[in-house]
Amino acid sequence: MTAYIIKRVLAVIPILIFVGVVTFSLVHIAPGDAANIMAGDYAGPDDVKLIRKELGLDKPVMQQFVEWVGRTIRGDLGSSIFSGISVIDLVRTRIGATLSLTITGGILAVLLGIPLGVIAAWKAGSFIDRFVQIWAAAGISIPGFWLGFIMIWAFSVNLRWFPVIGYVPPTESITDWIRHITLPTILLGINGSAIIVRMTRAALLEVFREDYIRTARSKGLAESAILFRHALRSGAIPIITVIGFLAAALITGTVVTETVFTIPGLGRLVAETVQTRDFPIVQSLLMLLATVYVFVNLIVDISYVVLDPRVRL
Amino acid sequence: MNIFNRFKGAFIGALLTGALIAVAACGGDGDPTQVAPAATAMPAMPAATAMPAATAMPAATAMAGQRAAPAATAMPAATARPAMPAATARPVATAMMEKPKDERFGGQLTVTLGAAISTLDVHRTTGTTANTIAYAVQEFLFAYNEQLQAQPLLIETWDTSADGLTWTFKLRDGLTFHNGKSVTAEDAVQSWTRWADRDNYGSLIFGFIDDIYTTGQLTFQIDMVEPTALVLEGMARIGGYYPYVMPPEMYAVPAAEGATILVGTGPYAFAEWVPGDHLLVERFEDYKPVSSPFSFMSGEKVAYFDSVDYVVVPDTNARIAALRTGEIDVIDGEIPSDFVDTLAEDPNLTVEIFTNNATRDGAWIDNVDGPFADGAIRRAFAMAYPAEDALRAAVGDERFWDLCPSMMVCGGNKWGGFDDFSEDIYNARDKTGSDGMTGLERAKKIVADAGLVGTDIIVLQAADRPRFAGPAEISRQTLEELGFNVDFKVTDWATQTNWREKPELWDVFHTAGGGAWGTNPLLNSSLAKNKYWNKYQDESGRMTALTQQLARATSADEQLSIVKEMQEVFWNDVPYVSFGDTYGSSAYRSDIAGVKKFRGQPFNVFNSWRMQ
Repeated sequence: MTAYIIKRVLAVIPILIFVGVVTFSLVHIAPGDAANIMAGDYAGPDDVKLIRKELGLDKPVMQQFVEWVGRTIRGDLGSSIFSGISVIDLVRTRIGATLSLTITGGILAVLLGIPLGVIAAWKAGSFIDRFVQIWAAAGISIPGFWLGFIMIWAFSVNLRWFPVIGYVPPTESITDWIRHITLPTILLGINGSAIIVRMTRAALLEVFREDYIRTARSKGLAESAILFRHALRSGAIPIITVIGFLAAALITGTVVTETVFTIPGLGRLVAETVQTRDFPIVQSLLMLLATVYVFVNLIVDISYVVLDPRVRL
Repeated sequence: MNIFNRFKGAFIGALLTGALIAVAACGGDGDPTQVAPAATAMPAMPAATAMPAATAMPAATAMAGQRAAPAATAMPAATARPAMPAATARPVATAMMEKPKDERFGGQLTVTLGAAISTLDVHRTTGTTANTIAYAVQEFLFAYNEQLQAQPLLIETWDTSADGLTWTFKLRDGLTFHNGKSVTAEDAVQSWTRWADRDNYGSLIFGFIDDIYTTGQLTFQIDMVEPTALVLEGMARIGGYYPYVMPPEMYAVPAAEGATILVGTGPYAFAEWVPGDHLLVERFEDYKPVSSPFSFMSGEKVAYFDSVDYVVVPDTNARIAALRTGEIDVIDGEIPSDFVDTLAEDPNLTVEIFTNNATRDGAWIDNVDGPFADGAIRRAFAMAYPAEDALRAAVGDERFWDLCPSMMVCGGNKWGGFDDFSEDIYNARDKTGSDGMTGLERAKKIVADAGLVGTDIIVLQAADRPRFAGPAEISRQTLEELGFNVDFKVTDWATQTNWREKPELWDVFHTAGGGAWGTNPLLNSSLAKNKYWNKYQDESGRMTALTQQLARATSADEQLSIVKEMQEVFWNDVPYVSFGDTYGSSAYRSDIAGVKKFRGQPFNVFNSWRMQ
């Protein structure tokens, strides 16, 4: 068990190096740079050339890469080309909102998704199953930005229950925090739950066809015991895999959610900095998100070992 | 819409079902008055903690909590700003609070910004958000009135010698920056020089200047190499980089590096910036306005609001919704025409289209590479162009634009509004000329005679900028009608800005220019040889010569005559295809009074107030 975990943790290192190289390459392959954006629409070629030189963006890509690696190794993630504010400060001021959304959205997704998926599998083919499947299909296929604006129109503009824009940290006012994150949480939760519902239903349906379930039934075990003691544990591995992916998807999903609800989180920061080609921020944020993704999947891998001893074999 | 309204209740009910958990989480509190919109719920910030750092704190450390949070608790000063004693950090005198004020004073105005504030230093960008903030915080030496005449703002008196070679200026006495320091002639000279180093208009004017130096605490002098009427224009410059007067803490920082504080002499003082979220300014109680009436950028400014909060709301739909709920007070700039009528129906909102606020939209064409290197082909493109369709595609129905045949924008502009030399080129597509052909037929013939039918033309479309993306489609159709093979490249704006640096990657892109850019040919780099992305070549050399003459002209009649001659060159050379004038619009809560906008000016956060 310990050896397995150490092996998996060590495997993360080359993955992160690879992610770093790919991130840097992607950011620099994308056409456009911050000099043009900073100069503004009315600036001409001479203005842009001057700013590019001032920012060091005219240096060869390899030189920029070496400098970036050097800074990153020293723990310097860089600063915004535009504002001069360090990446750490930008992340620090914005991570609270994103964590609020992803944690509450993730919890809601699991709380909705697993029970609905279990019920759908348990009552496969029934009216309830069909209803749940429609829910899942809608949750996956309805675009988040559209549903977000419908929610704003209904609950904010018409009913005035929730604010349209902004975010209040829970440390300021728990009531205002709830009001600001309710709609975004529901939006993230609906989409996330849809994925979990489908995976839970599919996993359990497969388990229900196993011989040992039939054996349990023939022994006269109660249906609840079959479901919770036998079926759910075996079906948990694919469900947990999906929840692992979901954690990462929720973080990236905040790009849309935070933009629609005007929440100053990391998702919006990614969108803004990509549009303005603020390379140091984009690089560091992508690395950060990739790291979270890698570690969430590491936890998922380790959880397999706990849930299914066969993995250790 | 009626059907939609009829089923609105049922639809909301259906959505409610899915949101029961949320309602429960809120304790079932359905009273709208209990919901605290972020902006209006913000308690007044204690001065000592809310505005600590304008003079000495880098922006990175000046950041505080989230927008709707009271600053005092969002980021305790003791942990976030340990080095900044509150007493010295907030020089904005609170002792002046006892000034007599009427019922118009008080409250907070919340204004939306469509894009994040990238920098606090206006000499680091020509982007509009930085200037929108600076408009409330900083001031010019001179400022334009609505007749586009430069009027003194920080200057009290000035004089020029009979030969026009010596200019002397004296600042108003008793002016102070928000950090409490007096404004000196050295500040004026250094700020203006810093601006001139960045701005192409500045370099043009400084070509006439031999020396600029202080002659006293409040006086400075400019010695000219030769006379020009542009000196005051340069001090009042709008568009491009703005010549705001700054304290040493700002102008000592190279513009390339960018100052990370924002200090000025204006009616509002910088208070707090949370990058990507909002920027707060508060009334500067020691502000000393001029006594002349408020007109465009000049005249008296009164800060009726205690504070102005500039909130970044990137999405148009969110901006509109927040305006309707009262979370924000003002959307300034472009209200999509689709929304205007709906918003105007709301009795709580006022929507205005500012026809005195024209911008010039057009198709910018590559003058150095490909078919458009030939002036005849540029002219053909212009004469075939459906200007009305392009304007409609850019900004909507007829309320938002007007055809304008002149080189500079029409509508009250002293150098615009005349149609000389445009007859067979501008909006001439369907007009039959003396040769019996319409503009389109003539253009097709020119392209065919040049043997260019089937030639590839690259049209760029910035999909993330609808105002420019629409006309790109019109350009494509027009060029295909002329027989070109159009390679239509859809990109984002950032990519387009990069591609347009390389002439081989494009032939046509779309943008717009406003403010002084559209009113003064000297400020329009598209008309200067090799100065803008169209790389206008001015083969005859006439435009360059006329530009130099205009810079030296000292009478209004002489200037107008030169501008008309430039218009002849413009319609002959067609450096870019001009569509016409487009107008900005604002929507604001109807309880805001005193709104007055003119030509590219940001929403006047001063001289406006909230009616009780």
